[in-house]
Amino acid sequence: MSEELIFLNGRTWIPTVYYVGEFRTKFFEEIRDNKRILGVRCPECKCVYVPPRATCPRCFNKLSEWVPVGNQGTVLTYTTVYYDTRVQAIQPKKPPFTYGIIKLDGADTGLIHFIDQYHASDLKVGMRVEAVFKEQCTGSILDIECFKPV
Amino acid sequence: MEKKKKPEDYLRVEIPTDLPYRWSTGPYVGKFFAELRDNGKIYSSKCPSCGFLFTPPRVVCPRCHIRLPMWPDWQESGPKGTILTFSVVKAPFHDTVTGRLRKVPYTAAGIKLHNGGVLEHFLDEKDETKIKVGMRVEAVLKPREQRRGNMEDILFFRISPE
Repeated sequence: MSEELIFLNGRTWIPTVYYVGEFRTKFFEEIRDNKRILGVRCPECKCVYVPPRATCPRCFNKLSEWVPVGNQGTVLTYTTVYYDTRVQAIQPKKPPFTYGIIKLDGADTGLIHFIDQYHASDLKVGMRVEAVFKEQCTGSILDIECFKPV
Repeated sequence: MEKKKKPEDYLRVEIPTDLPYRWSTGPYVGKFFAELRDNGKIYSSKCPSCGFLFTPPRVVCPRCHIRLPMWPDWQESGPKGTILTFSVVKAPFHDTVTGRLRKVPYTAAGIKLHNGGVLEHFLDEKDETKIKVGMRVEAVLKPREQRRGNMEDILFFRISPE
């Protein structure tokens, strides 16, 4: 008996809204207004967190010392995405594109962002990259367009 | 002391996530929908061990853990039945077809089909004072040319006049 395959369409719509809190607000506003990336330093272990956070996860200290970090940094790791989910909230860019973890100069942690390359020959762990800021900034992580090889 | 800030005093992020998806029903439910679409018939399958009826048919009996028969060893059920349970929904809830909130009020019901199992669907009556468990109902189907082989091929169940 030949069987017909029946497919059904479904849809999930999740209109998420949230407020980023004190630390991310200052972080995003500094990017938006001054094109400058900030981190916070732990008074005990001296670790500089980018993006900034309220508590040091190692020492459990409350953090308050804001330090500017460089707009340039080093690529710790990266991955190139080819699969298109066609869901803008998950993929703000159209594949292929590259995500990387970038350790900015003066920071001790990595920031996840886009790297403006997707050819394997142009990508290398340890390569130097620089933040490219958008013209029209709105106060979000996407105010940094991407990181471009220096 | 500085006044404590509210969450709304900080930057707001909106993520309008829209996730369209598509899934295969598998052979049993696929055949159920194909019969509903092409012939306007609602089929149920019966467990040969415990006699429980499933609408739509399923592959395995969840009570006896044995494989259930495939069409044509199904039995035709409905379109008439009785209300086993119902709920008039007044708080908006997600519609898994559109992803948006379903227009309220609407009535969800479990219909015990004649010669079949319990099918979850909607009633056209939205006034809970006019609905009683045990009332006789009948499925209202879309016209043949509008049926697409999904649960919306049954528009709703209508309360039969006594």
